[in-house]
Amino acid sequence: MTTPNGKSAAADASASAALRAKTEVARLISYIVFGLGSVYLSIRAGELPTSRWEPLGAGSFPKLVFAVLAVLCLIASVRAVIDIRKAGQLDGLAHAFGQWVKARRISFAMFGLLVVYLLALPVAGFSLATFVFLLITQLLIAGISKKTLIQSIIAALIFSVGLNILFAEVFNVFLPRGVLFAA
Amino acid sequence: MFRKIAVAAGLMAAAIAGPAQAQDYPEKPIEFIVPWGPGGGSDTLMRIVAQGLADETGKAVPVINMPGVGGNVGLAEFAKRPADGYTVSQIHEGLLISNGTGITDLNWDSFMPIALVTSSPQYLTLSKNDNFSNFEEMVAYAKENPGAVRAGVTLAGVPHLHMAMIEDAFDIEFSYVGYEGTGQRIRALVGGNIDVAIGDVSSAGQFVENGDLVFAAVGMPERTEEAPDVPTFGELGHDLDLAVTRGVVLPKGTPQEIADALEAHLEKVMQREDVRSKVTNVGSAPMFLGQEEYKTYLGKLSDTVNRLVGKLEG
Amino acid sequence: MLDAFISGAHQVFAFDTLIYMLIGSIAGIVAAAIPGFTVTMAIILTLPLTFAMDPLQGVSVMLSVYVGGYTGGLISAALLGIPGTPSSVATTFDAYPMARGGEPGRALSLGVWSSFFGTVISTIVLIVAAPPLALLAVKLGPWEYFSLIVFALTIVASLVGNSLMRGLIAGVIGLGLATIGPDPMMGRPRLTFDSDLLMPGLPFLVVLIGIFAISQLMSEVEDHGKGKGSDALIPDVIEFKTWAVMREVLMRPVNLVRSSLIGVFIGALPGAGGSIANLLAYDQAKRGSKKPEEFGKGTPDGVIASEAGNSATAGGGLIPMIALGIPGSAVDAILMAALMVHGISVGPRLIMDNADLAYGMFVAMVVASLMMLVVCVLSMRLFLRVTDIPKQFIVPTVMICCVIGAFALNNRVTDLYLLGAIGLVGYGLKSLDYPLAPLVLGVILGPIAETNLRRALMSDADWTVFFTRPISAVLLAAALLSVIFSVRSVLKMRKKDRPATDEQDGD
Repeated sequence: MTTPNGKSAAADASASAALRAKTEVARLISYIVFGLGSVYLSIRAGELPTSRWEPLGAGSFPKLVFAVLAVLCLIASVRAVIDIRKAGQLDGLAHAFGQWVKARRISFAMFGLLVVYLLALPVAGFSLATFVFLLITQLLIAGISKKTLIQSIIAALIFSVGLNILFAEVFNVFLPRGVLFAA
Repeated sequence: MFRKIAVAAGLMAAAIAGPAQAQDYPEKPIEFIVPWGPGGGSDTLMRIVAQGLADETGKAVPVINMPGVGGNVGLAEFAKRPADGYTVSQIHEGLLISNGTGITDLNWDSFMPIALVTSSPQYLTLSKNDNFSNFEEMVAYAKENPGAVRAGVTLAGVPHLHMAMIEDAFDIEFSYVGYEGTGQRIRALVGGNIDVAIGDVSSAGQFVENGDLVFAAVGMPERTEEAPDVPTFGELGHDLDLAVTRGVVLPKGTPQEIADALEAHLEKVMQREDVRSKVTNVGSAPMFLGQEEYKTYLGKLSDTVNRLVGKLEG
Repeated sequence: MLDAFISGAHQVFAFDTLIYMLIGSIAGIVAAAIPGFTVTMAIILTLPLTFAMDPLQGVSVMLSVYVGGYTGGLISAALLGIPGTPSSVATTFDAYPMARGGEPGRALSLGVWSSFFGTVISTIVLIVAAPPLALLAVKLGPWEYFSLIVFALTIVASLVGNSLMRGLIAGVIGLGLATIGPDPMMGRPRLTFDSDLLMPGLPFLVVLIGIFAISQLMSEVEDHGKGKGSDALIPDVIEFKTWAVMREVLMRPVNLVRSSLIGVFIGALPGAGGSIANLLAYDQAKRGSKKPEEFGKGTPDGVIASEAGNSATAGGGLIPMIALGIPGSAVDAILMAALMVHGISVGPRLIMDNADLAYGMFVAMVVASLMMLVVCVLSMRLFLRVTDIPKQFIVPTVMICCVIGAFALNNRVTDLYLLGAIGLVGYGLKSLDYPLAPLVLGVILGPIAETNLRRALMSDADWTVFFTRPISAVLLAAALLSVIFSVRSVLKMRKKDRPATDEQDGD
């Protein structure tokens, strides 16, 4: 899957035609990405071996599904192009994109932290990785001050070390321990 | 770099849990990886065995379900665990078949088989229909109409192997319909959507008692206690051993002392009255084969699978 | 029969059984309320404890976890906009807007009462009609299942939001995502590109958490220039109006009964379950409503439909289990295993051989739903405190819960990477105004449709069987009618909207 990047839509449904056109450009990109991806997957699914046990093999269903997806994306793209040409006013696209990302900087920062956290989890173990993730994320959202720092440290401790103990001792569910402290 | 740390940590762990500790084994909880989802036959049986092992050793034995790709995801993860006796897992016939059909490179000898603990006898089960009501009639009908008898199986799974063994021995031909799991097959059999399937006492016993289904034959050397009226395949002309046997395994490279200690514990577990009755209650038979016997059994099983695996490949 | 009933009731009303059931009820509600934690998980954790109990006592405790679990999902759906369980996807559509609109107490009360009545209605159906319904469910072959799923797919039209086209694309993406991983018939990998990550496929729960929870949490911290992010998610207004809301629910008997019956029937079909029932009930409520345009904006009817529908699957799921010994879901299979461990064989003879147990289970269902009601009403104030907690604590902590839930499901680290990837895709789709519910519906229905289609053709290579088996034909006709109905209402809406607002949205 590719990351569809583009502009918010729900928030600015009532905004100007220019903004709609820009949103539509972002959607057009997503239609094209999904369309090309589904064409590729449909072809790959068609290459799957058939079976002697059944008339439909492993490939038939995914082939059909991705073919339908490709057709839908094609129709959607054509409509999007028509709409964009009708509305025009595509200047300032880069600026609009910049604004869009800026409003979501914390969202993306948090996602980046999540990715780092997930990668670190099997190595550093649940307690440590979670503690660091929670602490940074909380401060990221609330801003750094003496009060938020203390609150965040306490909350992070409870939900990292505390949760780990709860799961291991009470439920016998073992969260990733990490190789650093394997013993 | 992570790999280095991992190796170092592994060595450290190995050093701490060295062979000297074998007589004290286990000193901490043993994780039991069941490579199947919750609620199935393997899960239920292994939870009973795990509970028994916990009672026997006084250490917790948490069951961890790791389902996926016919048990192969859990076993692949298990193979990577430290070989210190604190992670155990379970295999059955399915692994040998997955290996034979090329779904996984793992086989029974990728692990250290410790003990075979339960065996579930499998019955050839017939739906109520107009064409046959016992084994001989079914064979006669199938010979007259090749491919007309619809058999519900897990394609390329244990029931498929069992059906292939029956086809092979009695020279008949089924047409196959794929189902996932015994519960689904029995449901389809009761609903009349298929004609024959492999079933067991826990899933089909009451339907047979009620007259909705017929047990045509049992894949055991002798008739079973639960269904004494059902003939064995041997009585019907060909000896066939159709059972799902479940055994406990350790990762390869576990110190022999640990393996012996676990074997001894499991032997005692399988003698416990509560474990035996629970295993019987869920339609299986408690038993015990130690390391050597289990390996011999698996070797023999492997030959059967390899002989028939060509019939399963799609 | 009366003897058996009294004997069963007697066992359930023992003091220690009631205490255990109360604990079970709370555990079920809490587990389901946390996004990523499931009822199945809670039941597995209860299983070993029930080994030591009497059979009926053990099953009663598990039933109270089960019933509590079908309600708990409501809490995070209403307060966080994240479905706590797969069964509460449709609850987010109206309960969350209602809570955000300043009525979180009303949203919760509505859901709790609907769940209660849904469970009770399903238990009544279970007691009255279990054997014939179970026999009907068992007769359904792959043809009927496939046609039913085709019908269920047509409800995408009710879930599409602003654009039919993007709704369809999202639904088909869902169908496609579900084909990645082992082929459901042969177990061979497909479209996995030899990657360990994709080899086991995309677990439904991971997709659900990623699509709804991660993307929702990411949008919570968007900064639209309205001040710093340390404020609470929902304005602090706490009003329950418990009894007024009960009347409100009972004043909508058609919706309540229809949604509950949908839940019972879907629950009684092995393999379907609550994750479909809530969406189907919502769809039918929207179509049956005189004001369909209010759905999705916080109408009580939407909350009632979804919660009554999903809770009614609890009783529905027991129908094939008690009547025939056929489990309808993983949870039912665990319940059955718990009985079997105690030496009770479950099958068509259960009601005859162990009548006190069967009737005891009916009694336990009613007791469990009462307990759920009491626990929820008493603790609602506590749940609502969640809305006072500042964002900086809620958002990261809920994210951690999602990570734990996604991991504990199958104990696979690779599922966590999938969670991250799907979360980002979900956020992107949400930003571009793709509706997310159709995608989840596609992921649920895709595998059922595919296996039954292939199974049908293996049983009989003739395609026309789909039209000659009566139930299958009726379901396909219903699907066709449903499509015609949707197209008509889309055209009508468009005619109404066009000149007034000039809202053209790609279709």
